[in-house]
Parts: sequence; structure tokens; C-alpha cells
Amino acid sequence: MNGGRAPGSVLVRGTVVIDVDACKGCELCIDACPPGVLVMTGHDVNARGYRYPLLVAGCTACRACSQICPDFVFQVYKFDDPVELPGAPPSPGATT
Amino acid sequence: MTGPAPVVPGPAPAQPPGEAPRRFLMGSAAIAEAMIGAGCRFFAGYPMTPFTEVLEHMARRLPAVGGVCMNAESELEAVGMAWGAAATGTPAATGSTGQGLSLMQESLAEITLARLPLVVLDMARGQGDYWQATRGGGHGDYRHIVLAPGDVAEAVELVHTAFDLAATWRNPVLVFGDYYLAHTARSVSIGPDAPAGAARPDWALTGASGGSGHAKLVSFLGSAKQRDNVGYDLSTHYAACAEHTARMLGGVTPRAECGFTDDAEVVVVAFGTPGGYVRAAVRSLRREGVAVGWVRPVTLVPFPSAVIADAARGARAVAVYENNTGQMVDDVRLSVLGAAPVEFIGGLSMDPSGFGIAPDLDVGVLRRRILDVVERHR
Amino acid sequence: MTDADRHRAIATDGPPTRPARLVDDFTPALVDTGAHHLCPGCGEPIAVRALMEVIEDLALERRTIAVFGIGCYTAFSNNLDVEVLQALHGRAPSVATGVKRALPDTVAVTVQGDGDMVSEGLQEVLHAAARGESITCVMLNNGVFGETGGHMTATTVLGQRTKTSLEGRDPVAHGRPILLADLVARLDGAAYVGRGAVNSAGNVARTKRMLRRALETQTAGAGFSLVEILTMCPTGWFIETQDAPSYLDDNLGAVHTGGVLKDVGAGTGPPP
Repeated sequence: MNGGRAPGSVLVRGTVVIDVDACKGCELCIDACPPGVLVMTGHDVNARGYRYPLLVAGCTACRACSQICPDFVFQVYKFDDPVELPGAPPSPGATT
Repeated sequence: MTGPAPVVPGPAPAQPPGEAPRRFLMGSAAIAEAMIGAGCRFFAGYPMTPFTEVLEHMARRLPAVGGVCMNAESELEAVGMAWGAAATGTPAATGSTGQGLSLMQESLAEITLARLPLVVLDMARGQGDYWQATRGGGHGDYRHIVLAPGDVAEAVELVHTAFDLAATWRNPVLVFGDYYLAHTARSVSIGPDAPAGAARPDWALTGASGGSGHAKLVSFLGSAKQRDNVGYDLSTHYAACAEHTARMLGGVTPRAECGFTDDAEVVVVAFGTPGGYVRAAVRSLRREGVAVGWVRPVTLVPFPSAVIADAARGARAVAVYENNTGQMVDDVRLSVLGAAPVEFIGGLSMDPSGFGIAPDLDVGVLRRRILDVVERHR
Repeated sequence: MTDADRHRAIATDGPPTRPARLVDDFTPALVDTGAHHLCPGCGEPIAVRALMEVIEDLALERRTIAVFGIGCYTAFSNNLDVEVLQALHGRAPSVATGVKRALPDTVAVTVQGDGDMVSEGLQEVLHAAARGESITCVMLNNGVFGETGGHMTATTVLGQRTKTSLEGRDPVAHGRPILLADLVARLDGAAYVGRGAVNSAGNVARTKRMLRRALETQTAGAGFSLVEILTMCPTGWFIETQDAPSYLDDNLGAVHTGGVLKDVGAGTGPPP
């Protein structure tokens, strides 16, 4: 269960920086993310009134989000060493 | 019998010292050689009478001097190819007859807004393309410099001038020729080919500025961005182009030739090939004591208004002969500004071929029309 | 409670404090700024990014001259760190021909839309391909004239509703779409022809491999290359932004099918 890790934790290989105000809420990144760790806000909007993605634990630094985003919203970082972080692996394609 | 005996030219006139060797060339060949001599290294065209032979000569000669000649699949593609070559700083030219230039107009308008040097040959059929050439047949508020050679020798000179002006002003320059020019043979001095490897202009595209943070852009939309640094600011660009056009028109000296205008009662204005016939008619009338004079505009843009105004001062009438239904006559009227009546004595070239070889381009016909103006303004 | 709190979201407002390396920046090196006025969910910036990244990966930026057509993507013609020559609607292939013939060592790439290349400029791309010009034409195909507000082009598929095919494109009233990549592939002068898409990360990766093959075909002097890239246009398709990726697969992609249509084998990169 949970790949030998502690329950309620997930292996994280990287992270992203999200330029929230550049986002136009198209949600391409949500489906593109293979581990499904991007979720759209529900209520919160950016300075232009668009909902935007949030990152939950489990990023693999695969760059799918940065490659698919039409608005250049993402920077992607790969950790030198993967780290376990608290969080249940969400199902891919999860929205709010 | 196989046809009329060939005309054998007599011995060549003595070669003036320092001049390049003279060659007996058909006008199309002379124009092609002049383009190469002026440094043209890219030419694209589509066959159409009476432009075709220029394309043929360039196809034969350009590769030999390291240039490229493309027989494009349409006039649209010909001007597009010349556009691309011009953007690399390669001296480039294209051309056609008026009909082919009609197809090229959108590109010619935008090439001008992109501030590119380009020489455009209009080997016109008659002179009905005057407005197309001088007003610009394309959209928008652009201007081309327009040069109108009167014979093959002047065409050789003006082709050189065209490339110089195009490079100086970063603007297309149109050379207005015709069927006679293309198909008249003349002994001309072309001069040696221009040295290769002239420095590429700073604005020219070569790829090399890519990745520098300041990659070059050649665009008819300009380069200014809007206030939020996104998108083009066209208003800035159009204002800059208008200012450039005004400087160019003020910076190019209008050219015209004239004769017998000091005491002329009637001044006759004609451009291109008809200019020579008008000159002959005027000389012939002068020998009979008729006080007539002639003016032949050589630059159609900028139009030699001051020369014509000067010639018209003291004249009783100004007559305009051109092979169309009256186009340059408007510019002559604007130059004369009411100082004398301006009469159109020209007409369409009425030859069955439609190539503008007018039966009425005849000294006898011109004498009668000029005398008619003289009589009515005694 | 904010959405971020509710999801136990990870802070994404700055670089990580853990040792890490940047593997993808906001914009690739050859795109000046990420800001543009194109619609949410537009596929064209994705395709432009892909092309610029391939040019950078192949170290071609100091040889490239990109010839742009006219469409929404023209927004990028003054936003790139490669040399750009702006052409008219449909006319990029002849302009790129002039560039490449004058300077054979450059890498001449066109960036055109379907309205530009297949409606206005069909003659130009076919002749360039037939001549085997060593240029690479890139067509961003969204099946509409997007910039003018959503009108039918030569690639619009049957049944697709646009402002000039309000009930859906009808074969009798409007004729049938032209499958441009298939048409070009039949010309002997064409050396590499591929059709990709940008509606999924996997498709973007495949499309980048096609772009790489196409550019390698050019630099090898092997002839004309074309990469057609299906892009999303939810505005021009009159659908919800979030429905565009699947609409692309179901409609445009079902007719303009993806894959490599021709490859003379001059490329060395991984196959798409």
C-alpha cells in the first residue's frame, strides 16, 4: 500500500512556480498533468478574474504543464532528491 | 526568298576614352545587363510581353555572376520571392507589364511599408499604366520613385540610378519601360559588373542576430509595440513611414529634359518613347518657324512640376501627348496651375496586338496635332 | 478558507527552497515575453513555443529566419528572439523561397495558419513543395479564420459551424475540406510531411519530434518539409474553452488525421 511509504504521504520529484495573474483559466494543464496534481480554484480568481491552478503534492517535474500552457504560466523545477510530502495521491483530472 | 535582307549596322562610332566598351544590344538585354552591372543578384519574374525577354536574359546571365533568377509560377510569387531576397540585403528586382504589376500590388504596397529596397520593371503596353505606376496601384498611402527612360541608352543609366535610389531611400523604385524599349537595338556602354560582396545593410536579415536578445525584424507592421508591450503599434509605424516618404520626395531631384522652351508659344509634354517622337516633331516645326517647345519628364515621381511650370511661363498653351486616354495630363495641369490652358493631344495605342505599338506614334501625326493647338491659340 | 487551504496546496509563488534545477522556464529562450492577447485555451502559443524550443535544441537560432503569415499567431512575429520577416496572408512560402535562395545557409521557416496557407495561399505552398525548396512550412490548423472572428477556411470540416457555414459546412453549399498535408505529401519535391497537434502533452511532444525531423530535413538539403499542427480555437469553434481539446480530436483530427505522411529519412532525431 502506498509504495512502501508512510500512509498519507506521496513521493514528490519536483515543483512548479505558477504565474497566477498570467493564467486565463483554460484548464489545459489540469488534464495534461499525468499524476493529476494540478487542481483549479473554485472560488478564488486572479487579478483578471480567471480561476487558476493550484499544486498539490506529487509533482514529477515532467513539464507537461509548461509544454501545454498557452500563457506561459509555469516554471518547472526538478528536486535533486525526491522527497516524501504529506498528501493522498489525488485521482488524475480532479477538479474542485 | 526567305524575307527582307538583314540590316547590317555600319562601323561603330569612335569609342570615347574611359568609357566601357560599347555593345550592340536589344533593349531587354541592355536592361538586364544594366541590372547586373548595378549589382542586382536576385531576379524573379513571370513571362509576359514585353517583359519576357528581360527575364530570359536574367535567367541566362545572373547565375554566371553568382546571382539567382527565378521563373516564378505567378507574378504574386515573383514579387514574394524578390521580397524575401530584398529582406536579406541582396539587391533584388522583379517586374512585369502593367497587367502583371496589377497582381503584385498588395505586396508592392507592403514592401514599401517594410522599408525595403526593390527595383520594379514595368515594361508597359502603351502608357495606360501611368496612374498605376505613379499613384501606386496598391492600397495605402505609399509612394514609389518612378523613372521613365526615353530610349535604351537612358534605360541603362536609369536602371543604375534605380538601384542607387532604392538602396539610399530603402524604398521600391519603378522603371517605366515599354515594348519599343524592349525591342529596339542600340549601341550602349554598360560598364563593368559591380564588384560583388558589397556590405550588407545593418537592417538586413541573415539569421545571425537570433538568440542575441535583439533579433532583427523586417515587418510592414513596423516594430513599435503598444503601451502594454504586446502587439504592434501601427500608428507609430504609419507616422514614421509618412515622414520617410516626405523626406524621400523632397530629397530626390526631379529630372526632365526640355528643348526650345524659352520662347515657345506651345509647349508639348511627353514621357518615355513618345518623348523622342515629340522632340522630332517639335524640331521639324521649328525649322519651319513655328515657336514650339518640348518637355520630357524623366522622373515621373517626383514629377518635374517646376520644370514644366517654368516652360509654360509665357506659353499660350501646353499640349500633352501620351499613349492613353489622359493620365499624365492631370499632373501637367497641376504643374501649370492655370497659367496656360493644358490640352490632351494623345490617345490610345491602336495597334491590334494590344502591346502598345501605336500607329499614330508618328512624327507626321504629331506635327498635325501640335499645329492644331498652335492654330487654336494664336 | 481559501481554495489553496482546502486543497492543502503547495506554495507556488517562488522558486523552491530545496535543492532543485530549473527544467522549464516560463518562456523558452527564443520567446521574448509570454504576455499576449490570444484567447484562453488557444493552441497557437503552444505550437509557437514548441517550434522555438526545437530551434533552440538544434542550435539553429543564429541561422533561422522565420517568415510569418497573417493570423492570430502574427502576435508573435515581434515577440521572438529569432529573425523574423513578416509576409502577407498566404504569401510566406514565396518570401521564404526568396530568403533561402538568396542565403542558402539560413534556415527558412514559415509560420502560417490554415486560412493563410490553404485558403489564400494554396498555390504558394504547393509550388514551393513541388520545387523542393529547402524550406520548412509550419501550418497552425484550427479549421477557421480565427483572427477575423470565426469563418470557414479550406480546411473547415463538414458539419463544422462557422459564421459563414452557420448550419455546419455542407458539401453542396460549401464544398469539402482540403487535407493539405496529404496533398503536399503527394508532390515529389516534398521530403518530410507530418501532421501533429497540441491538444495534449503527448501530442505536443510528438509534434516537437516532427518539427525536429522537418528542420533536419532542411539542414540536410533534402527538400521541402511541412509540419501541419492542429490547434485549438474554442472561440472560433463557438464552444467552451475546456471542451476544445476533445473537440479537436473528435472533429478536426478525425478528418485531418495525425501522423508522418512522408519522410525521405534525412532527419536523425527520434521518430515522432
